[in-house]
Amino acid sequence: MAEPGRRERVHLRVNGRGCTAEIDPRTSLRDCLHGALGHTEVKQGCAEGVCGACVVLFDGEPRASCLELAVTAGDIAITTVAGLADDAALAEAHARLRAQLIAREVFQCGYCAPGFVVEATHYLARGGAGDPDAVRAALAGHLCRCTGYHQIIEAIVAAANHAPPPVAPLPRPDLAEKIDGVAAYPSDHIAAGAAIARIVWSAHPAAELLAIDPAAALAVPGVERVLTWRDIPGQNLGAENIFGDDQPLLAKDRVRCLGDAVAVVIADSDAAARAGAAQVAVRYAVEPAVLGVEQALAPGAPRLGGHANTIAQFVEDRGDVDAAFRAADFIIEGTYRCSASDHMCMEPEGGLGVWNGETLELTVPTHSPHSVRTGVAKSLALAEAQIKVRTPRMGGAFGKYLVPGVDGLLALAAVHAGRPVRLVLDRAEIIARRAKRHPLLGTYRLAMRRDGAFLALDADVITDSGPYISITPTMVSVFAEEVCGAYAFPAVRARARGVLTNNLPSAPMRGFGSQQVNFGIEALVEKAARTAGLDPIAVRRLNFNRTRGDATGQAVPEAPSPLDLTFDRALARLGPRPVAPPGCRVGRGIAAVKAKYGFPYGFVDRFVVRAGIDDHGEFFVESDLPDSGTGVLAGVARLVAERLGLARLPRSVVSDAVIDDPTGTLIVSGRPPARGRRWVFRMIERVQGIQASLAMTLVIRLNAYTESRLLHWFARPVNWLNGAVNWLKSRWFPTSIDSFLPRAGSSRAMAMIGPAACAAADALKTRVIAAAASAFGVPPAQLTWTADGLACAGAPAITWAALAGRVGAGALTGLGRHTLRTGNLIDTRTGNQVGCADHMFATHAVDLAVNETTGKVQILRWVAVQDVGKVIDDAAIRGQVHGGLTMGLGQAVLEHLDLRAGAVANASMHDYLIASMLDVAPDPIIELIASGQGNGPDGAKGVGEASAVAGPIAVAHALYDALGVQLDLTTTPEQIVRFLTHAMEGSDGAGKSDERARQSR
Amino acid sequence: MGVWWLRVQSLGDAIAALPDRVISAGGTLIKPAIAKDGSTGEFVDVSGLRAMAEIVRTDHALTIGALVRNQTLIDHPDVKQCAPALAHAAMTIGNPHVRRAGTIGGNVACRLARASTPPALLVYDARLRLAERDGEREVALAPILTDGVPAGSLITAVIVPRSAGFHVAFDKLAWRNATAKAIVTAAIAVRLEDGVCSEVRLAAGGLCVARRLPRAEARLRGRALDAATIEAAAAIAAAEPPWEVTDVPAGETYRRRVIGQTIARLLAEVPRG
Repeated sequence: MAEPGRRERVHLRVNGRGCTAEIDPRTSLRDCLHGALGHTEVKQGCAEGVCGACVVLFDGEPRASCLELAVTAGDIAITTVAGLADDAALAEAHARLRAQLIAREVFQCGYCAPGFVVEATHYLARGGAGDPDAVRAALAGHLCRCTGYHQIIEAIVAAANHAPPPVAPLPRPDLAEKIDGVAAYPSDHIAAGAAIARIVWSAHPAAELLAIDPAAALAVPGVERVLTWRDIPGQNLGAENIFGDDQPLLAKDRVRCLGDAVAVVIADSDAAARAGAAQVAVRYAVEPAVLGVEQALAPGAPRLGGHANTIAQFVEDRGDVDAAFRAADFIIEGTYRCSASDHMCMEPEGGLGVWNGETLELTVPTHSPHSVRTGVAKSLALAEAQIKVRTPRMGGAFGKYLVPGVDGLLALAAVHAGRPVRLVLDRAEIIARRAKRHPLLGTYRLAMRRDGAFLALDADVITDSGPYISITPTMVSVFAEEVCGAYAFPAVRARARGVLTNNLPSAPMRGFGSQQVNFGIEALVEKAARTAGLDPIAVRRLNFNRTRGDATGQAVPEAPSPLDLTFDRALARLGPRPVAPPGCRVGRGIAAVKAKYGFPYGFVDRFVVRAGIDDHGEFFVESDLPDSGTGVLAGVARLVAERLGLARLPRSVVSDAVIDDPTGTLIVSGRPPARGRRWVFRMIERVQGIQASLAMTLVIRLNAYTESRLLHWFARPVNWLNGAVNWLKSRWFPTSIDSFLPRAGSSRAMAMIGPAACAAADALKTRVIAAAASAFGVPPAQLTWTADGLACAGAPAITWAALAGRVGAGALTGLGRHTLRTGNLIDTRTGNQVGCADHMFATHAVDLAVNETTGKVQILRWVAVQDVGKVIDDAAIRGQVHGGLTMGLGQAVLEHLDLRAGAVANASMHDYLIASMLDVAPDPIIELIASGQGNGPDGAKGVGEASAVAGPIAVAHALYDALGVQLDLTTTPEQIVRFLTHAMEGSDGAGKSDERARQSR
Repeated sequence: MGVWWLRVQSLGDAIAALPDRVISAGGTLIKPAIAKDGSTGEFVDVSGLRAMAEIVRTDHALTIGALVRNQTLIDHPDVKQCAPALAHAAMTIGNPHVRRAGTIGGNVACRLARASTPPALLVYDARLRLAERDGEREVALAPILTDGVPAGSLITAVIVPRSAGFHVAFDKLAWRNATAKAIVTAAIAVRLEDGVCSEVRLAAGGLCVARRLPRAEARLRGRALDAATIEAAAAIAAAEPPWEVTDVPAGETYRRRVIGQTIARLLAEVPRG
């Protein structure tokens, strides 16, 4: 029997070298390689052989190292991705593959890359065929959340055929790091002798917490501490949140969802921590749980917070809606649900916390390092200057880390452990306990004339925030703003609400709500056209909203409309309707989306970037934006390289200065701000926070249709005060950033960081020429900027390295900033925030076949046409589109989150199905349109989200076309068959209500 | 290495160690579970018994060692030729790297409703060779799938009789095309004589650990494979397996329906004449 706490010595052969580790005998080979032996190139997504991230060679054969124990692996010659180049039998194939992967910019976040590279090198070294189907069959055991596989397969096929790599633009430095496994993600940060923390999660969606008894857990050998709310030195604050501090770090009196943490166990090994967590005795008095938005809004529902459980509400009321409905030839009603889904970042969530008695360093995935820092400082009663938050890169994010994660618990464990602590969640915990995408329930009525012209829309959309406010109000703002989708309505009455329930907390996910709300309106439009016997394509064209919001939020007419362009091109590329395979029905679906991106709010919204040359004469671009795999950083590097005519892309560096000092003083002067200055800045932010909560409270209370005049009067002083504070903030802190709201995580990143980076590049150029002129005693006019350095009339050229050597790298930097035009906190008519926003336009068209027996969906053709503003990096943008439509396919028909009484029943990567490379459309047709109309540099736009917004809706329409019924998003083969069976038996899809109940999030 | 994980080098040592220990072959289920849950059970690791990793072909049968990897079932020419439906079933297991780890013995012994090879083996009328303290014996596969490997016994080989004259086919439904649990599995073996089913074996998994479908077989035996007969047999097949599954996505009604229709399709595809 393996006793807890016992250690065993194992000898392994890794990459040709013998090595020894002292481990708990129950450690998987992967964890031993990664943790004890420092082979952090061996990643892990699932720990059950599903995802392929941990694949290494066992005696030359690709195998999942998570399915092996370290103690049984002593006889195996193990080769990780880091050993491929040194293996005579593999080196040539590896080099061939690597050249293709880099030239084609195949990976995005890159967390899955080492596994892919090991398997593909093995395939190529054995003479694998250069045939896409053979490559898919061989690589099918590798899942990727970012790329959609297409470019990976192309690269392997090209390598197998010994094709020359395409002539690529300047290669991205991050790609080689990811492909070689050198790139370190938060969960790869290992410290020798680190303690392991595990979380004790709530056992019920709603319960009073009576007692926590750690005695049995503390008796487990190796368990050092069991932390509960009593061990929190400061505020019990789980998430620093502008809209309200309602989320505890550790549950105290009650638990409000299954994602609530009750205790944290610290132990000397993972096995001990797990055993300890299982032994913490928690007594509950179970209470009735609110498990859906209808239930939350029903009279007599348990009160969870907000105004009768409502935490955000915006309305739209323009035109004479009632008259329009009276005059309508058709009134079409529809109720549509978009269910919750998991972000399924390939990297497991978590990181490392190191407390040295003075400072706490957290290496965690986050888009909001500033909020993490502020929140942790409050809960640990530390000064913010004592906390460093580092996010080198993330193994996928998709919006999840816009809200704080387990950072606070990790920080708490670190200060109590007195030594480094590692806290990384299992996949089952991530799926069953962590935030999910906001689900949406939309109830619609549409008034339409006989010719298909829309007269009015009446809409009520409700999202589920889970038990805490989080940033749901911002999400509801998007729902309200986009409720009309891509269509113009003369009259609109709409209400968007966010409510509290006892479900898991909600977090933004790719599209920031656009997918959910566009699904509803698109489904309604499709139904309207079909109900009236009109052509859905003609109805869309007739009703498209051909305006876009400019930087002030005003609608301006626009010609030619990028929306029409994407629509026309998608139709042109679609081709003839496919013939149904045996036993299948075919369907065709088209979805057009006009979706806003950017957080619209009335605060100062600024980005600061520093460009520079380091000691070695290499260029870098520094900001507080980490690499989350979206390609934004690569795009920014390309912009700067283009602007400065560089021979290599500059490196992207995460700036500690911006994170550590949001007032901007540190990055400008290299010195932290004086105490008084910092205090003033924090006071301003506190006032802004109060304004935000006040605004939301006002809006919720006053925003009934009949009372909008009241809102008008109350909103004005709030806006006025906000304007004054903004003015002061900009005047006193011209390079400050908003530290209390999520930083650039979504498509808006390019519009924010792009112009700032260009400004930084220009500033750098001026600075460099001036510095060189003075250091080398040359008039500036005689210096010419070249790729390799400064050419000098009548003298040897000055290389960048020489220049850095002479003047010192610190002198060669340029600062750039970009401030979005400030909007308003409260629109006096709708209550919504008004801010700078941009729109994505995309049309996706899908042909699919549905098997009548099994309900399984096969994609036959996929056309995606998207306005990207400007094509900065063709391969990276295409990767985003492929990745988005693959995620979209999953969200349409695979990624069913099986919720039973608030608990996720399919909490593993084996059961929660993200698409594999055998599921995607074989050769999607992707067309990029460069309208030049984005808010980014040269009209560039955010490109990462539109495909994930439009894709699943097109699949849903194609299913409607095939089945004659509209199903919810996400649907499953079982639900499809249930419908088909009922339809054949003459009932009217009676199964749908049960499905509703199952999907009631 | 401690006694909790006993790696044996001979069959005799394995048998001696067996009672009260869990057998690990490929370890694809056991090892990640140990790493995850810190299992405190005791194990006997038989993966070093090289003699159990061979495939022997005779005129009458294919004897597949219990440690033959699932990927080998796909690649091996004898399996492809003598038991193509078994190769097909193996092909639907997980993904390449899981197939390189898992073994046929493990796929049978784990007795999971979602296992791929058991229905194919059932319609091949495969038998198992068990090693026990008193020596080796051959047993039928079906009772082992139903009741489990007897305590103290180790599966050393799977014996697949040559099925000349039979049409054998297998299918599996999973909702994802790679690395997804089977929702249902189904296999048929049919011998037609003068257009009439002289011998027929049907098997299904997914609702329960794979088992033969004797009532549906009886409906087919001695009859021509016409549409009405197939429909009737498929209806019986859909109702026949007991519902024993709780942990996986699809419900009973759906699975029964898919089993029935899959069996019907496989029967309809039997070449006539």
